[in-house]
Amino acid sequence: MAQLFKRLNVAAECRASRLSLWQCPPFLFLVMGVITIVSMVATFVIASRYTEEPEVAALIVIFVTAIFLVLGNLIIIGFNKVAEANRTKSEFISIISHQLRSPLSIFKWTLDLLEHESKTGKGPADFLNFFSTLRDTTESMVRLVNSLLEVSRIEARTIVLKKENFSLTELTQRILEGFRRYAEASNISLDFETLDNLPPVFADRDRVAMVLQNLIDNAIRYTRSSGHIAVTIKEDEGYLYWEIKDRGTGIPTAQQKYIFQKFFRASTSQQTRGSGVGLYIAKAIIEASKGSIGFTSKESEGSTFWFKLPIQI
Amino acid sequence: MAKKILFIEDESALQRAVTQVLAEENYQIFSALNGEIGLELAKKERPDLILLDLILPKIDGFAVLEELKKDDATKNITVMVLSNLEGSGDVERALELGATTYLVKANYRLEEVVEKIKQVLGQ
Repeated sequence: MAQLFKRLNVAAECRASRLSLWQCPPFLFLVMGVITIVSMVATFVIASRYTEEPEVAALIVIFVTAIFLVLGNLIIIGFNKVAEANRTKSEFISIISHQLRSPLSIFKWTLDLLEHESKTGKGPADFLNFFSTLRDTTESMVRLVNSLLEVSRIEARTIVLKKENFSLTELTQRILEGFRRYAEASNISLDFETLDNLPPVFADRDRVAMVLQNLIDNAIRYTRSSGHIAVTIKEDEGYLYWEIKDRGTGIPTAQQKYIFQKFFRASTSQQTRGSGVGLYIAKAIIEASKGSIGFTSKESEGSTFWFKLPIQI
Repeated sequence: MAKKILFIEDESALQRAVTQVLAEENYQIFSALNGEIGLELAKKERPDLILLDLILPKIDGFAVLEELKKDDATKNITVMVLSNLEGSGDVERALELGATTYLVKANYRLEEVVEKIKQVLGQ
């Protein structure tokens, strides 16, 4: 009973979402409901005055009520969408600001330390370590902002793909090379298997490179040390099929449906930094390229992420 | 006797900066890169002050704080939260769980943090 009363107290609900009464969907719902009921009664009274048969009056009432209901619904759905979009936008801004604070405070305190140390007469050569930290931190801020810009392009549907023919094998090879040192440091072996003479794919090369970076980085990150990662490329009915298989921490079944969402991190993730939008962007890019992306995973056993890209005919 | 400070923070660049300046002020610093090690060191070393980040691997800062205040061995240690989190409710939650101070890292210079620490340790 208390629950029902709480729901009826729209004023409180509206105040909670910080919306003025006239923009608040629950309140509008109530208003539409009252208008509909009043119109039903009014129509019935008017109709009864003009016709002898109650059936006709009833039909007119039903007709008018139906119109009001449909209109009311459309209005409320519209307002709900706006309220939702506003909520999402605020959440987005809040998440970005928090994520940027991390590299910013590293930068800030490293600079403070650098200034502090330089007063003790140490020279630039002693500070190489600091400069490298500052550079890395700047890079991570640039990457963060770039991935957020990409997300906003995806949301606004203003992504423009620069498609060209290129070799997925060669691109994969190049990116894997870039990860070799990182993988070796954790004693993880990277295997790459593919056939020679695979046809080129037709897609945005730089963006597909981002997808590869993200998938390979994830595979390494979520593999325990001394693990094994295998990348394969095959031809599959007009598409090239690219797959990466790791035997790492895997993703719990209950969380698998959220994996491609913005900012989602599985509970098995030990990640405390990074944007959390890598897979969201990857999915948008692959699908905008007329391909498809997916994965299978079992907790503690590992994951296999794959995507397909069309071969230019 | 040098006062002991435990710094629980997963970012090594920050560990380096804070450890360096505090060591120069003659404090004995212990570093923990995750919540689990943080709790272990807290119980083992019984520091005079704990600087705690909230976003940590293994056990997050809020859970560490709760655990510290539950354990008799550590419940009287002053805890200063150093975090970049500032979501509605984060500050209140940390203070309710027993933190004495809450500083947003990005808003303070290194020297200012050291000043605060000296104040809290009453020197």
